[in-house]
Amino acid sequence: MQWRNTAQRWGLPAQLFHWLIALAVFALFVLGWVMVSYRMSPTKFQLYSLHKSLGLTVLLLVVLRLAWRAFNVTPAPPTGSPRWERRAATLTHWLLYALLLAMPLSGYLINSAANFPLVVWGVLPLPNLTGENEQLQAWAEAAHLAMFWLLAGLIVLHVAAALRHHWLLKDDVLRRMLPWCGRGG
Amino acid sequence: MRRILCAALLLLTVLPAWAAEWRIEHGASRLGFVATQQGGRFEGHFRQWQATMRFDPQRLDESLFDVRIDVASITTGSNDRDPYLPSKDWFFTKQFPTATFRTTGFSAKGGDDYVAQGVVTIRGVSQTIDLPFTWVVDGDQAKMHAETVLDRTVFGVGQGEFAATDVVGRDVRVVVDLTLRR
Repeated sequence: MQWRNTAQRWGLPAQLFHWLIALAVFALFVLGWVMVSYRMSPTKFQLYSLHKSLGLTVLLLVVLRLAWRAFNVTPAPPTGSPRWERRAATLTHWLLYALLLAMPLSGYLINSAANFPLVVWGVLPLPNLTGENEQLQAWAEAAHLAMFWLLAGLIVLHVAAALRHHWLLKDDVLRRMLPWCGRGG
Repeated sequence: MRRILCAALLLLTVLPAWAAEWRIEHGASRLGFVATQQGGRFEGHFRQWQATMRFDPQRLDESLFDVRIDVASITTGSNDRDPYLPSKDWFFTKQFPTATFRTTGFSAKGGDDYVAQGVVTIRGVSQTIDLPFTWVVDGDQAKMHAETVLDRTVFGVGQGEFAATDVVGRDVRVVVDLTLRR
């Protein structure tokens, strides 16, 4: 069991953060699409609640993940990658982090501007960031949707790049993020 | 002539003396409530309502509150919630535009505390309630504060699936703050 990151490999906490957040984001996408089209009913409210609780949980996980990252070394990019690829990878990763923070925050803003009470997972009441504000709500909703598409696009790029490294370039960029793959791959 | 005048004056003093009628200062009065949604509280109030308020602690027998509320004027400060409240599932304001509260009696509880017995009617359903309130007079002005809890399911506010109380809470705390002038 390797806890801390090394120059070659992500440690277990970093891997857990990655895959937990990946799973949550996928669930958030599904919940988000289902809940908006669901007919008005108590179930619709519960779907929204689930989406909000999960989204704010992701916010917390991303903050913890970035803190963990700051106190660890980051595995180096594979040697031999062209400069532009490494730059594109770095840019994509930081955009992903930024969106993973901005998505829940814009969602929280929508909820606040809609003046809905928010009790995370049914136990933690959160105060609203603002009073009712129709204009702000519309703006935050537009931002939330636009960022969803950007995030979805970046995830496709991220997954495609990881698979390319694994299958085509045959390096250990993907493997070193997998908890069950041995040290050094 | 003088005798008649005397008799008339005497008669005036024994005529039923109505409890004072109070005029509501709507700008400083609020007919509000606190409800819950998935464990979180939200507040609302009615923008349009009228009331006949006759109250005199010395003449509780002649006192009367007669309140008529334009239910469609409900607001909870949320564009995601308010459009649904007048609908059939909730207040069905097309069929039941007015909610009412009319007192049938009063009792004094000491100090400025009183209880009004009355009938509240929402969505065509009537329920007898006790409404505890305080009534503080300062010169020509009176301040009234009343709170009570209503069970929304009794009145059918929340039909079908919404009759279940896990998403929208059963209890609605009614909070009345009035400033009145005589």
